[in-house]
Amino acid sequence: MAVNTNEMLVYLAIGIPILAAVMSLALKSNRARNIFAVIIGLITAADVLALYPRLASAEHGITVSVPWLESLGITTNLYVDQISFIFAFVATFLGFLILLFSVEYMSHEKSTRRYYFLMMLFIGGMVGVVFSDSLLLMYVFWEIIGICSYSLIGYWYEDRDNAEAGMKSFIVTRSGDVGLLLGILVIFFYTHTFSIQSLIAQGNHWAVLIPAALLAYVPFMLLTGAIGKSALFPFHVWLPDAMAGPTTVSALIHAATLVNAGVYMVARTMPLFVSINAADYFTAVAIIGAFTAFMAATMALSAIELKKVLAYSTLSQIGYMFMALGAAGLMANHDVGLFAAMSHLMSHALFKALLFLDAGVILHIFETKYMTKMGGMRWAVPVVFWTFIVGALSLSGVPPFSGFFSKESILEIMLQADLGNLGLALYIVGTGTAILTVFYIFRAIGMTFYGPAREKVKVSYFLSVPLIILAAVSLLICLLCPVFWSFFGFEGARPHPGMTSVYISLGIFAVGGLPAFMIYIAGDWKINTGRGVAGVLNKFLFNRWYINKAYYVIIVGGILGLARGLQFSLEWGLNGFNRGINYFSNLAAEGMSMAQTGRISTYLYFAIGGLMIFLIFFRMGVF
Amino acid sequence: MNCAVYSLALIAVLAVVITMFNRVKNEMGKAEFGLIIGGILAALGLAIFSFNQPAGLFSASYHGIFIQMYVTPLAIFFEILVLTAVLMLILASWDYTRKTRYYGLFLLSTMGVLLLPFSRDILTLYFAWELMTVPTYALVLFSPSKKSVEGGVKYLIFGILSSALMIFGMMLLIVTSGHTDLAGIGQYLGLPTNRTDLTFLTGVLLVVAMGIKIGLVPFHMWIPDSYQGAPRLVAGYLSAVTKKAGIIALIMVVFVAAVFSQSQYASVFLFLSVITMFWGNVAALKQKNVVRMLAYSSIAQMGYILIGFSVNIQFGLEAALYHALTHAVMDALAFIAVFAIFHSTGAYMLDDYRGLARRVPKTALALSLGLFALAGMPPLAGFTSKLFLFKAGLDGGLWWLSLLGLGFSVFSLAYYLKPVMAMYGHEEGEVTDDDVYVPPATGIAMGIGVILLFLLGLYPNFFMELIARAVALL
Repeated sequence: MAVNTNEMLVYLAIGIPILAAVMSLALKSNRARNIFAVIIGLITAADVLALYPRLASAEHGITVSVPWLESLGITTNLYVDQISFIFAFVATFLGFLILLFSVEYMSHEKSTRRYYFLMMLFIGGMVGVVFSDSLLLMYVFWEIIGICSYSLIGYWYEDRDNAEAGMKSFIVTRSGDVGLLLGILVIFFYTHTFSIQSLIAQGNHWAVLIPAALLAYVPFMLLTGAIGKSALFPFHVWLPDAMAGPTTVSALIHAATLVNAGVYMVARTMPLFVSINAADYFTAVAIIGAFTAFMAATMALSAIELKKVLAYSTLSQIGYMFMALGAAGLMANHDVGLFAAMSHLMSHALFKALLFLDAGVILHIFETKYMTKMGGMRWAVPVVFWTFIVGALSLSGVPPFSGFFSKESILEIMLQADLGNLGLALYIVGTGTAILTVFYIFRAIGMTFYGPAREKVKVSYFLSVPLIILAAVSLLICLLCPVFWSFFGFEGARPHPGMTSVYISLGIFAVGGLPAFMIYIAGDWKINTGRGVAGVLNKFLFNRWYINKAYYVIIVGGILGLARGLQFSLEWGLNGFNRGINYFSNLAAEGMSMAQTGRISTYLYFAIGGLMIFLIFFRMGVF
Repeated sequence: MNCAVYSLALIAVLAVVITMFNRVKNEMGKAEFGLIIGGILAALGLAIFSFNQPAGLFSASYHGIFIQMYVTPLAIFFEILVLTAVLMLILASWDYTRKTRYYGLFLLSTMGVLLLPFSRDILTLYFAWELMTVPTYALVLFSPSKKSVEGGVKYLIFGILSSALMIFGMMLLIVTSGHTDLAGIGQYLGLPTNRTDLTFLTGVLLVVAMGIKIGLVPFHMWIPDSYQGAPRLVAGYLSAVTKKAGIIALIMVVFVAAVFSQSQYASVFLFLSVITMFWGNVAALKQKNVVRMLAYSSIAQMGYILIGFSVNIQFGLEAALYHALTHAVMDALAFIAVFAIFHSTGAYMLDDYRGLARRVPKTALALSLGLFALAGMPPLAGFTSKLFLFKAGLDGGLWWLSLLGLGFSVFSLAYYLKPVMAMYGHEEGEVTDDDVYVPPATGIAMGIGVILLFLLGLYPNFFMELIARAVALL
């Protein structure tokens, strides 16, 4: 079996972290695991980066056929192109930085065996998701990262709340996955292939094979899985609770990679659904995205835990990406929208990981998660302060930070002629959300970093170096934009934010930032806890629009009610069935053990009797 | 020239050398044991090396003694299967016995098993069969106790019955067809006019003879008693290896020598498959002794294999062979782990298994993985091979048989999970936290088994290619 370099690199990108995860179980000390994980993180990132020159402005990606399940007539391929490269690079590069950060961050844990195992398995699984061409293989990796996420959220499982948060994320994302699996099976059942690329290559021929009544639902089935993983409305409820895990986990999994799997899914299957003109689907994607973006931003306004603010912000930014992808599917030139979504994904992953790691340092040092109890961090940890400011400016979309380019390009495509009124509405929501974004992040800065001065705390290099690297990358990545465009291979329709965009984004910054500055940085803020319109609104937002509560009442209550009803009606039948099986198998087993007398003559009677039965059956004409 | 024959020769020489060495020294040292392991590894290497070499006839004559062996992909596949399981079992044996006799007998029997798929001639087939069986009579009684004498005698009597029926059947074959080579018999019986009622009787005699060794219901009654009495690793050998030898012999007789017509063998194996799955699975449910449970489980697994026999398509046979391979690994692993647990903690009843995961964590994990694989949980080996078998059932039009097999697989979880739950469940009484020692060679053997569970489960293609060629060139 000849394996060329490309194939080797693709295999290794998935294989190294997974094998390393297993190998790390054998390591004895925490120190050995630290060093091992950092080295593996570096190697994996380098391996993925080595794919870059092989993909740059290439027409087609790299296809690797995996000899797996061939005997069942299923072909399994890996496929790597620019889109999957972006995702894999983000996962492995951030993975490396975060593993480096973990050296100090997790040093107080008694044993880090589980942590490093799951983190490395996750990195491998994430690369596997984005490198799989086969929907089946992708689903396998999809579940692997789901399980890693679940176990890492509940990492401190001795605390019951954490374990429950993990369970919640698992159940919510799994209920989305049901739709995904159903969609995959429908596609396979009718088209007899799992390969996305071969479906795309068929044009709209694949759609003819699926009954028209079912076809309309197929994109939505896949979408359910995507929004479950990406935590979009109505599946968004798990992400804020997922903050119960270690902050490094939040940074890697719940800000930069796992939650992007849904974005990847939509981006990857876009050509499929464009070929069948699924306008409903793309409209739904855009609207769900816009709604989540706005809703999550309002929730962030009233959150009092620093990590929750960032979690809502993640929801909101992923909403932007979905908005761009939905718009892309509706536009004549899909690549522009796709590019906008990808660049926002990349810049968001970087600055959000940065913000999370900053938050992690603060939580680590001051051992509180409530912003109301923080204050004055600016003097305590200047490195964290300045890097947080870089992240916040980037999130706010201030030129020349990375968020500016990506967010502006998303907003700009909404004004393209072929989107019509929908585009205008999305543009307005997007701009409004951007204003809220500026407000809540500077609110967080004011509450966390300003106030009475505190004593300076020393921050270890293991913590500060990744922060500085990320801040620098967030600042400088816009310089790489031309490289990025040519990597994607389009020259003509490149989005280029002009001076107008600069003015607009500065306007947004001023409108959102000034009140936040007045209240939280310069002013003497206090939380409105009750009366008046503002108080009611605050309560509404603080309780997450009561969606969580409503879910609890409807789903938990409803399911329990339904369960009771079902229990009532089915229990008798099922129990009867169970008891029947139990009874008869016990009876049969009794009979068998009676036959097993231990006397050899009985055994011989059985054997010879069996022989005779064959001959009798033969005489009777059975055989 | 194909290297596969040399790997057989290597084992033969090794067996003879070790047996003769018994005259010099009763106890083996590390060097001799290293020689055995090295020899098996080399033979395995040769077998894998000859993977892609063309099939052919190997013949040699030496002073008028004429040796003929047919090297087919089937033989190479079977060599790999047997040597892998034997490697695991012999490695594990080292921690418990150093008697030279034991290894000599073990290797002699292995030599017989290896010879089996090379022989395309009724006489060599019978010779290989007896060479495989006779040393195991001694092995079963290797460390005699009252229980093991009982089991050993049952094994002996059933072995003799098997041999007698086989000789009878073979004699009838030779007399009616006038050939001694299997292909010739196949050609002769291929003509419907040559087929009589006596042919069916011949077929039944041979199926029963081999069914006794394989443990098909209702010829299986000796199995639980003998496995329980025998040293557990020998039981592992009987279950993982000699059963597979029975399968291969059955393939030779049924598919090469064509003792049944197409419609006959489908219904004969259908019948056997259903009752074997039923009896094995149901009887395993009530067992309190883990070895007896494994014995019934290995009976039930043979029922799954017969699904592949009863569908009349090529993929069925491929799936059956793949399940034979995965079952060899799973069973060897399970028996080794059970023996390691017995040896280091003294536990052999289900009740004794409670809380064992804390005392022997790695062994408990290996045993659990082995049992999960036997139950057919993805992504382990048993899942993939059962998937193939059930797919073969669907392709061959016996969808209800696949469904039945699937149902029994689910049912089997009820007893496979019992030891696992006992081991990982909370122990109520006091915890004896003494460090239980599991010897290193056993650990290595179990490690090999666990790796293979995953490899065979996730990556079936390596062997499926070989198996496809084996079935095509039958």
